Amino acid sequence: MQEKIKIKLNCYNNGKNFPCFRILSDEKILTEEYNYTASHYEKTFQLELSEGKHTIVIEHFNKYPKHSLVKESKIIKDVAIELIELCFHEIKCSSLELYNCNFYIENWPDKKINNSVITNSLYFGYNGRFVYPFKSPSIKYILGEMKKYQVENSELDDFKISEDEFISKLDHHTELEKKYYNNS
Amino acid sequence: MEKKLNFLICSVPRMAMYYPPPAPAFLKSILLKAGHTCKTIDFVSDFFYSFQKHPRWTEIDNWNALANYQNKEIETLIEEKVEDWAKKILEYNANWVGISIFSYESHRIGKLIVEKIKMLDPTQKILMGGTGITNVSEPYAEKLLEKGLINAYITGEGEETILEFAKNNFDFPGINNKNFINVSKKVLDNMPEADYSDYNLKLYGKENLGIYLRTSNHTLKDMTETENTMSITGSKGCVRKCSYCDVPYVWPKFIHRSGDIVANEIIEKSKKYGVRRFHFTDSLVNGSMKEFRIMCDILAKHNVDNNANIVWNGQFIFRPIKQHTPEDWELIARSGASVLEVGIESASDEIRFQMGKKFTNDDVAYELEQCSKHKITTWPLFIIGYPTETEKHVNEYKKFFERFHPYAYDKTILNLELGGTLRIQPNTPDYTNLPKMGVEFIPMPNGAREDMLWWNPANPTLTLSERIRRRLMLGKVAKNLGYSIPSEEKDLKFLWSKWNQLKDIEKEFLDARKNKN
Repeated sequence: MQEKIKIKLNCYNNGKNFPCFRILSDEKILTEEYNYTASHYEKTFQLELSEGKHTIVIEHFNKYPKHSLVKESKIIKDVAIELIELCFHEIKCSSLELYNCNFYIENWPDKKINNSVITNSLYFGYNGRFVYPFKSPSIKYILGEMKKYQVENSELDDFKISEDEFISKLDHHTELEKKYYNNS
Repeated sequence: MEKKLNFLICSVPRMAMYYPPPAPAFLKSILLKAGHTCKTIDFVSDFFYSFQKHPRWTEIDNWNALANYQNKEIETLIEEKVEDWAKKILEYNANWVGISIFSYESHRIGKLIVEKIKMLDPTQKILMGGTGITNVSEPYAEKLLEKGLINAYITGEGEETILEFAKNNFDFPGINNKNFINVSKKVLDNMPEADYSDYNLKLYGKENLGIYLRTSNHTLKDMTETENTMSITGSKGCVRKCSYCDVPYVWPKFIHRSGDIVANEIIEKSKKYGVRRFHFTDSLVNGSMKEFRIMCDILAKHNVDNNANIVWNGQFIFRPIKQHTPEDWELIARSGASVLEVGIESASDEIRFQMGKKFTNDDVAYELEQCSKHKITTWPLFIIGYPTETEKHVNEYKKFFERFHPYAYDKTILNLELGGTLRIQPNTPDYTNLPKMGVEFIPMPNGAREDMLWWNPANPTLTLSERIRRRLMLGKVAKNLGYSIPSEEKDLKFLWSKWNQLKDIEKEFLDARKNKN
């Protein structure tokens, strides 16, 4: 199955050190960038994938804690990458879905942090691997995920209401409203 | 693979089955005239005839309009149908697939179609257009474009824009933005005739409405026959600037075709397609009384001289007494006026004037008397729950329905449309002016705006629940007096769904207001 995958990243550097990252599909390296100097990265990959489960991995590596320049406890310059967009055939993955994917911290000197997992962030400041699992054919999968993350208010699954029943509910509701809000 | 067709333009539900959707037919003729290739597919009629006899038709039909209605069985049925459509669309191998979105009621199914197309062929380029993406609060097309589900959209009237789009001039106003420009009178007058050759016109007409069949009065024979209907456009825009209406935003100036051109087009179409019933797409047919009289005169003469029996329906404005003279009414009748959709909008003169309508209940009495005399039937439209509406006005509604109920019996009032209460839509005078009077929009949890969710601190008991209560209660009053309200079942479901979706959001807002005070 032909899959067209586009990845957009923001790339951050501290003026001296630049991010290194690679993109993998099912552990196969698609591209590798050492000391990437531009602030934006965008590339489209054409892959032939079998039907079923696959992964896209964005790996950030070769960073050291000293690359983060800190002033008054705040990082003022950093070496990092940030996932801006992941598209399959020009259709964007839901950002909520991306935020729910895991980033596995690896090769980080601080043992308390190393090997832990981060979610809810698409800014990859540690070394490690962001894993996006998906199924091919991808469009069906992505649209299914979009639907999953689409929050509707008060979903209604029952239409069975008579006019009299509804009016009676409204009578009751408006009476309560009048009592409650008009007393204020 | 080389594309066989430049454009394939599809109409999608939810639309009424009065007449075939004109937009794709117009765009097709414009594109063909400019040397492009184009076909149209009518999914509106396919949807209707596929499900009309299904035991759960009301729910299937309502699914389109209600974003929060979830039902596995209904969704499976619709998804299967839409997947078939997507396959059919792709068989045409068109460079661009156009999806015509008539109103917000097409949003849900429109999104489903583009998803299914992209699932089957992610490279298929999709274009969206129509009033349903032009003048809605929700950035519907914008979001679909952002997500990559469509490749472009066109807002405003597409007559000129589609040609620029076909030339790949994507910077033309109205393409992928809402900065559209209005079509000039020259373009309107020179528009090629809509091309309905891909449509089955026999599928459309009053027999599909199921409402005319209730009319047993033999004097209304014309309306009880089974026949097909075609659309006709005499003007764009409106001579009024009603507070709730967005037509003047899309059409700041009222532009009309000459009455003789319109009448002759009707006569020609009638000969060409063998159709004698026409439906005007205009916001009003009698905006220019001069041209309207010319049109009616030609049609009346044609009907008499040729025993042609051409009839027409359309939106019409009531005017102050005597602006339509008794002679006018006679001429209107002879020209074939059949069903006039009239925006009476409120039963209270006070509120009607606040809305910018310039006629009274006594004017209504005169106009209905003339209609009754000439056996012309009307379909009055109302909006219940205007922000200034109080119990006094609700009582005026009851009196109004009592006063005019004899016309419900003789079918001068064929049906009432009581609607789903006031929606404060963007690009309307209400949207700008009501907040200045203190009316507040209640934000949805995601920050979006919902047209039905507003509150007037100067009339605090007129909550969403109260507006819906009044609407349903007045519907009952009208029905008990003998009026027919064909959309009552649909409105009930719509309002039930909306109430379930919005009542807690409103409550939270009112609680916060109470606590703040």
